[in-house]
Amino acid sequence: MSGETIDLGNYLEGVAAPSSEGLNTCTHCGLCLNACPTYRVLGREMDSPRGRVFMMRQVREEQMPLSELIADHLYICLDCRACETACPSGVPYGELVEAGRAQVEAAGVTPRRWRLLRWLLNRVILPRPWLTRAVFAFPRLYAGSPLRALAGLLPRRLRAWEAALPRPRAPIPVRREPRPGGAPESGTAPLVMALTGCMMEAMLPHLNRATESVLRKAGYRLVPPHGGCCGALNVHAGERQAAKDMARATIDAFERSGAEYFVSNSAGCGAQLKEYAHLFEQDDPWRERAERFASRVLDLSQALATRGVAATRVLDVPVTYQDACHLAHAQRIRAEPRSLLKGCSDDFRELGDDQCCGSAGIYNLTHPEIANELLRQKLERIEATGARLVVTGNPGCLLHLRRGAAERGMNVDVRHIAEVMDATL
Amino acid sequence: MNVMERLCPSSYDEASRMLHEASTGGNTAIVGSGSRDAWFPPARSPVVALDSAALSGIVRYTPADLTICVRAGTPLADVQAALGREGQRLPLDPWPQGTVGGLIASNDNGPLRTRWGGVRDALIGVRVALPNGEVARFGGDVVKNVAGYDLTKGYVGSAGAFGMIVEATFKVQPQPARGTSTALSGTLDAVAAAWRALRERALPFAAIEVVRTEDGWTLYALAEGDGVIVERLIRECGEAARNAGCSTREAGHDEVVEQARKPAGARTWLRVGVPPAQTASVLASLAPDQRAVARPWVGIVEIFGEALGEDGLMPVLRGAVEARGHAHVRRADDGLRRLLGWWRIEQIEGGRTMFPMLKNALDPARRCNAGRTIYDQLDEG
Amino acid sequence: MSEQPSNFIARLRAVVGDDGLFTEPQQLRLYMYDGSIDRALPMAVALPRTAEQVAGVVRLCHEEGVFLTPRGAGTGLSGGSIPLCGGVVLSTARMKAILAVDTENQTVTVQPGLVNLDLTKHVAPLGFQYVPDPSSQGACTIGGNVAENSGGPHTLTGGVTTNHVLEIELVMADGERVRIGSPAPDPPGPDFVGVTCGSEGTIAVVTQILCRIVRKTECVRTMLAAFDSCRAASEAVSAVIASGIVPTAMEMMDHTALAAIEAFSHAGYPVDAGAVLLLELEALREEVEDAAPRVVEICRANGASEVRVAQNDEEREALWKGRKKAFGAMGRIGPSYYVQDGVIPRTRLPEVLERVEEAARKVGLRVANVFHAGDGNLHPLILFDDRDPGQAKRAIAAGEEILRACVEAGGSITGEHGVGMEKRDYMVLQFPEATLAAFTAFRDACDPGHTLNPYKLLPSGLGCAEGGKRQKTMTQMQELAERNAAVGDAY
Repeated sequence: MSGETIDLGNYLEGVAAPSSEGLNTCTHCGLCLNACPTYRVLGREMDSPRGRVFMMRQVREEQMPLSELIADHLYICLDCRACETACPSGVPYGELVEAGRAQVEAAGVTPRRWRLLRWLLNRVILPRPWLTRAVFAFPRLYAGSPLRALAGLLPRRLRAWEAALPRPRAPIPVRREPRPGGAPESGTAPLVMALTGCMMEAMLPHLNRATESVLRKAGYRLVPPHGGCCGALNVHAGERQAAKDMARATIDAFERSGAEYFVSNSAGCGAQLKEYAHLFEQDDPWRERAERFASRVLDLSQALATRGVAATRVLDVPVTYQDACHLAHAQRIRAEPRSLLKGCSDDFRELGDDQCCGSAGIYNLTHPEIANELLRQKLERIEATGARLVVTGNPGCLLHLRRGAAERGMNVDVRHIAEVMDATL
Repeated sequence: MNVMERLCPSSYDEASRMLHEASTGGNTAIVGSGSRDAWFPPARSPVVALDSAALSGIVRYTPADLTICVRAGTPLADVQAALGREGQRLPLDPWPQGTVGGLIASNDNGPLRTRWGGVRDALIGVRVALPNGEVARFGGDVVKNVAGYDLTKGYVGSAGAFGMIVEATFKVQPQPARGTSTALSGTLDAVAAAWRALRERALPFAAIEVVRTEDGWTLYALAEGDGVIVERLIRECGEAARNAGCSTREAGHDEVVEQARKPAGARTWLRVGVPPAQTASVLASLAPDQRAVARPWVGIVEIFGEALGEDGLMPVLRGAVEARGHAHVRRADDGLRRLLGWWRIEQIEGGRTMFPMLKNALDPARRCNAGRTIYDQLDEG
Repeated sequence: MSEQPSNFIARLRAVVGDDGLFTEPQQLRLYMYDGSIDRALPMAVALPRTAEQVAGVVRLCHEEGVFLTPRGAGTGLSGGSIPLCGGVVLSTARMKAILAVDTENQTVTVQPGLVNLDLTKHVAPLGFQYVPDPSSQGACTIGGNVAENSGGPHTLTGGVTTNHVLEIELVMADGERVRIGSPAPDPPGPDFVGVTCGSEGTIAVVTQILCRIVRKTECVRTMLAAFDSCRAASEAVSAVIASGIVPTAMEMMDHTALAAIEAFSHAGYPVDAGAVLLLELEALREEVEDAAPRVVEICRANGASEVRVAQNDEEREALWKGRKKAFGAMGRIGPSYYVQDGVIPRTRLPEVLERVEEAARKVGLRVANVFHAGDGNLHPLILFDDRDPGQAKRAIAAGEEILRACVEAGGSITGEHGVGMEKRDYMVLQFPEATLAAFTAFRDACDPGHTLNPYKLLPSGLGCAEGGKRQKTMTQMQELAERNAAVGDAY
C-alpha cells in the first residue's frame, strides 16, 4: 500500500493519475514540439507535449507540486493529439493529459478565471443530458427566431459569431456529369447504428439527417440512432464518472440493437468511442465490452469509403479538406475523406497543413487568443489554396471555421462531409 | 622575395620548431611553390621563408574510404595522378600548378566549382605547424566530424595567416566515365537565357562556364558521367540552345579547362564574386577590352586582359560591391595596383571582428604571413 | 556580480519584456533538459523576438558575468543546450520567421528558431529543398543546426549544414552584432562561416541565416535490402561505393533496432533480418535507372536475402518514416537509451561494429544500431533503465569504450550530435594537446569570460583556464550555482 503511495508521488489517491508507464515512455526527444499548435504559437516549453509530460512526471517524482501552474498548462493543451502522430515512442499523450486534468480538477487548482465556466460545465450541464441538449439547442432556436433580425445591431466581432450559427445555407454547388455512379454493388446491406449525439442533434440536426440519408445511399440499413451523449466533453474536462455512465449507456444501446457497426459523424465523438476502454480498469468487465464496441465504430468517411460509393454529381467549386484533429491524429483517418472528395471533385486542393484550427471543444471560449491565432493561420492556408468550399468531419471545426471565414470576409463556404456527400451521391 | 633565409622543413615537428624559432626573431613568410604568390599582397618584412617543398607525398589513401591524406607540399597534380590510378579524383580543378597547401590557403577553384563546390567542401582535415612550436590537427580523416571547432575551415583562404599547413585530408570521388562539353554561342542575352534554362531544370552539369572572346559569347556546358547521362545532358543543351537562339558545337573536355586557365596568364586579372543571379549584369557591364570567364551558376566572374585601364575596371568593382559581392585584383601593373588596391568587399565588419579572434588563438604575435589577407592588413593597420 | 540578482532580472525584463522572461522556479524546471540525458536548472529563461533583443540579453550577461546558454528546440543529443552552470537560457523559439526567399539565387533568409522541416515545406511548392535533414528535422531549428553543424541521412553526397549556409548574422559574446560570409561565392579571407558552424553556441549567438536551397532532383529511388548480419550489410556498402555509385543515403539498422522501429512505423521492415540497408539514389532519371539495378545486383551478390524497391512516394515515405523516428522508437524497448555518434572510415565498419557489440555485452546491456553507413557515422543506442543508476553508469562506460574504438579506427567521437557536455571529456581521446590548446585559445579569444554556453565542447579541465578574468568568472559561477541550488531547494 505504502509502495503505491510513493508511486503516486504528489498525485491524489482515488482519482485516475497519469500512469508511470505512459510517462516513462517519453524519451524527451522533442520531436513533438513543432507538431504542437500551442508550442508553435507560444514558443514555451511548458506548452509543448514534452513539457507537459515532463511536468506530470515531475509531480509523480515529487519534484513539482500539483499546482495551478501545471493546471494552467494542461488546459492550454488543445487535446488535438497531433503530438501522438509525431511521437516515435508511442507516448499515450491523450490518456495522460486527461488523467492529469482529472487530478488538477480534483485538487481544485484549475485556473481561477475558468472556474465558473468549468463548474457550470462539469457540475451542472454535462452530467445532465437534457440540459446539455438545451444549452446547445439555444443557438439553433435563436437562429430560427425573429430575434435574428436584430443581428445587424451587434458589434462586428459578435456579428461573425452570429454568422456562424446554423441557418439555412445555399445549396452546395454541384453539376451533373455523365459518369457512372450511384450505390455500390448491393449484396448484403450491413445494419448500422448512427450516433446523433448531444450537441450535433441540438445545434446541427440537419447534419444528422444528411448522415442518415447518405448512409442509406451507400447501401446501409439503419437501426434507430443513438441519441445520447458519448461523454467526450466530460472526459476532456476531467469529469470521468459522468463519462463512464454515458459510455455504458452507449455500449448497451449498440449491443441491444443488433447493428453491425456504429457510425459517428463527429470526429471528437468517434475518437472517444474508440477509446472507451481507457475509462475502465483492467478488471472491469465493461473494459472488454468497450474494446469489442470500439472495434465496431466507424467514422462516417470510413463507412462510406469502405462501401466504394461513386458520386453521380461533381462539385462545381474548388474544394479543400480540413483534417479534424480527432480524425487525423486520434483516429489516424486521413485517406478516406480525401478519397471521397476526390471522387466528387475535379479540383481537390490539399491544404498541406494538419494543424488544429483552434476550435477544440470549448477552447475558443477559454483561450480565445490562441484559438484565434490558430484560426488565422488555418484561414490563411485556406485562402492560399483558392478553394471555395472547405470540408471537414467535425462540428466544432465547422462552426469555428465559419465564424473565422465570416469575420475575415472570405468568399468560402464550410461544410460537413455528410452534406457534401449527400449532395453528390 | 627578399628574405634572409629560406628553410625547407622535412617533417611536421621540424616545421613547427623552425616556425617557432623564426617567430621569436621576426615575421615569417610561409610559401609553397610560389605559383599563386603574386595574387596576394607580399608578406610584411619577413626574416625567414618557410617552404613546404620537402613536405611532400601521400600519407594515407584507402580508395574504398573515398578520402586521401597528403602532405601540404605535394603538388596537386601528383595527388590527382595518384587518385587517377585508382579511378578516382579530387573534384577541384584550379590553376593546375602549385601545392595542396597553396590551394587551401588561396581558396582557388576552377570549373568544377559549379557542381562540386570549393576547397571548403572537399577539405575535411588539416595538420598545421603553429608559431608556438606545436603541431595541431583540426578535423580528421572521416567525412563527418563535428568534434571541436571546425578550424580546418579557417585555413581555407587564410593565405598562411594562421601558421603553416603541413598536411591535408580531402574527400574524393570516383572518376566519371566520360566527360565532354557542348559549346553554345550567341549574344550575352542568348547564352544567359540558356544557362538560366539549364539551371531551372536542375541538370547536374559538372561545369557551366561562360567565356567572352573577341567574337562574342560562348557557354560551355561540361557533362560528366556514364554514357546515358552525358547523352541526356548534351540533348538538354541542344534544346536550351535552340530555345535561346544559340548555335552549338561539341567542344570536348579540354577546351573548357583551357579557357578557364586563361585569366591566370594575363597581365591584368580581377576575380569578382556576386550572387549568381547578378552574373549576367556584371558581364553586361564589361568594357570592350575586358575579356571574361565566368561561372554563372556560382557567381564568379574572372575579368582579364593585357593592360586594362582603371576607367573600365572601376565600374566593375563598384558593381560587384553594390551587388553584395566582392572583388579581388589578382594581377595588375604597379600603377593600376596603386589605384585599385587588392580587394573590394561589400562589408568588412564581421571579418574584422572574427579575424583577430582566429589570429589571437593561432598566431597571437602576428608573425605568420603578415599582411597577406584583406583582414590582417586591417588587423595590423 | 556587481548587482543584486533581482536587479539583473529587472534589466533582463526590460530587454525582452514580461512576456519574454521566465523566472518562476517551476517554469525554470522545464528548461532543465534537452534530448540528451543531462539536466541542469537555469536561473532565468529569455525568449527574445528580435536580433536586437538577443544582443541586449547577450550584452547584459556579458556585463554581469552571467552565463548564457542558447537553445533552439532542445532536441540535441549531447547536452548542448543544458544550462550547465545555471545562468540564463536564451530560447530562439519565438524567432522563426522566413524573412526572404530568393529563387533566382537559390537562397532563403531565416531566423534561427525556424524549424528545419518548415524551411523545406516552405520552398517545396517552388520545387526546392533544403538539403541537411537531421532525423529530428520535424522539430530541430536551423539555428541549432548551425550550432551543431547537423547532418542527416542525405549528407553523403549533399554535405552537412556548413555546406548549405552562406551567410550568418551573429551576436558576439560582448553583444556586438556582425555578419559573416556572403551571398556571393568565396569571399576573400578565411572561411568564418565554416568556423562558426559547429561551434555549439560557445563563440556567438546566431540571429539570422542565409541558407542555400537546391532544386529537387528529377528522380529519387529508395530501396531496402535485408541481410543476415551487419557485416554482410557493411560489405555491401563498400561494394556499392567501389562500383563507382555514390548513393545519396545509405542507412543501416540492425536486428534489435528493426524490431523497435517496426513496432512504431509499420513500414514493413523485415524484422527477422540481421541488418537492413536503406539506400537512396537521387539523380537524373537515366542515371537512377542505370544505377538502381546495379545496386540491387551488388546487394544480392553480398548476401541480401531480399531487396525491395519503393514503387511510389508513399512507399518511399513509409521506408523513411521508420528510419527518421528510429531513436524515439527505442522508447518501446528501452526504456532509456544512451546514443553515441562516433564516426569511422567506412572500410572499418565490420570490425568496429563487433567492438560495439562487445562493449555492450561486457557491461550486460543491449545495443541497437541505427546509422549512416555511407559515411561511417555510427549511432549505437545502448539500452538501459534510467531508474537504475548502476545501469546508467554502465551505459556510459560502454559508450566510452565505443568512442575509443572509433578513435582507434581513425575516426571521430562525434559526426553530427556535437560534443556538448556529454563528450567533452572524450575530446582528449581524439585530439592531441596542441589541438585542444588551440581550441581553448580560440574560445578565449572569442569569449574571454566563457559566458556563452559555458563548459561545453572543451574538456572540462581546459574550460577552467587560469587567468584573472577566468578566476573571477569561476567565483561568479560558484555564486550562481549556489543561488541555483537555493532556487532548486525552494520546493
